[in-house]
Amino acid sequence: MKNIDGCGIGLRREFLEDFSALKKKPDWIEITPENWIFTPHRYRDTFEQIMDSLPVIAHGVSLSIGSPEAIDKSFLGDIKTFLDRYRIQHYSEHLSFSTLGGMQMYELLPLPMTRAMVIHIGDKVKQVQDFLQRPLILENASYYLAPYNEMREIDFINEIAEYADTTLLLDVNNVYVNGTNHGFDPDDYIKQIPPSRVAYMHIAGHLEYPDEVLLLDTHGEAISKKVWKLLERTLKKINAPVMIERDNNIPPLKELMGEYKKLSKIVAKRGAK
Amino acid sequence: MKTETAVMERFVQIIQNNEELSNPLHNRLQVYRDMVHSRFVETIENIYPILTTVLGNAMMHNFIREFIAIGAKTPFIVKMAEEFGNFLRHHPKLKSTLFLEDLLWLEYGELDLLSRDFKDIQAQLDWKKRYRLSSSALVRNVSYRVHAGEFESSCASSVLLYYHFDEKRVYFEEITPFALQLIELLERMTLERSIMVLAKKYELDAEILRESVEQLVVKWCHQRVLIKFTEV
Repeated sequence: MKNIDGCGIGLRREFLEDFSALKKKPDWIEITPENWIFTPHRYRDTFEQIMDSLPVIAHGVSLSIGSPEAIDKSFLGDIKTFLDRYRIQHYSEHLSFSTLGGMQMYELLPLPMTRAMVIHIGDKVKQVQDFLQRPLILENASYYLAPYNEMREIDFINEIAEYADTTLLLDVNNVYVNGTNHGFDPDDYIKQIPPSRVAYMHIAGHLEYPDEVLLLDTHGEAISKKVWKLLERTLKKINAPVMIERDNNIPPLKELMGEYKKLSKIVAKRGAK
Repeated sequence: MKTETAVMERFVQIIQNNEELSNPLHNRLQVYRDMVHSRFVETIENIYPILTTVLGNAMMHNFIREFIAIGAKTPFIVKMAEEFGNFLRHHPKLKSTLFLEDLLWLEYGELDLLSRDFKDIQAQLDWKKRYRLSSSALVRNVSYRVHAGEFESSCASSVLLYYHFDEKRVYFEEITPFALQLIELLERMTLERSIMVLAKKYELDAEILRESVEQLVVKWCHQRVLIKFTEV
């Protein structure tokens, strides 16, 4: 990916000022455009100063690429204006749906994994790319039940990437969570992803429900040892930039930067940085 | 996509409604239902904390469930709170809830001002100019004295919300009917002319009035509550 290399972190309003004051910043940042499209006055100067100083990836949450209805052009127009304004070349979204019949759920809901859905999403990806004049990077989302499947998740993702000729955002935590919840081997899953398809990677925390075999992809906890280990094994196969994604229960930046340092060391070990 | 669409519709329907699920503690559909509900609750209660206290958590959660069933339309979650406010405004169970409209306005107004971007324009006092309320301020009439806590006796008053550019937070101020009239007049006529109109209406000496109005307008300009009519 152009200008994106090494390790990144998801920028959040909760630590915007502290981030701005950091002497040694991450190699790059990821932002959620929906949270910054209407940049309020109180954050604008700091946000723009950060945006001017680092390479940026936009990671959306409301595109709802799997919805049966057509892409919301008005929403996409807002996204394009934002990406153009800050000259952001890289835009990623989730392989899921959050809107149905114009009703918003604000959560990433699971898709039926079928051939028809592969074509449906693949065609929509092409439309989005044409509209935005940028590639759309797709992320493997976590899911807690599979409502109607004809194929395995890994085949579903690979076929979409192939059909739309696009790249993937590989969320290593999501692979681990889904593997545990649905009984597949995360390493085997990662082995089946063509390394050249991976644009960048996420690593995040999850919550373990002790009463049952269920991991919740909260992105609100520290990264677990098992996910760190999975990342180490993944990096032996896939040479792509990696970042820490924390969406909920945001800790002080110092704590996140502790994880960032750990990530940097792991990435440096593989010799990719 | 017919089957897929039907599956997705049924899935969303289960999340939106409260039909009983088998083995709810271990039902993954319940996980999704809880996730969606929590997302709405977290957003709405953050934006309407006082209203949540007034209505009580249980009642608020019931309204949120009803709202989820109807469905929010905006892709921007923070704007969903405005749709929720409109949903409550027309809810038959809340028709007799006192101050509902004012509370919704006040709490959403604070978020609205904190979410906007503005040009920082400080107007200067000019007797020959018209002024208008800037986009960093909101004003609303109420029928009671807020600061005095006189909520039961009817009395005209107004509430001004404005964004403080240095502190980057929203302030609330109660203003008199006279002050509100001045704001309204300034949109239509110059400051000079507004004073004449007010002096005549209240049978006051224009020179004495001029002094107090000057202080008020200078303060509002400093707070960026008022901007000159041509300034955007």
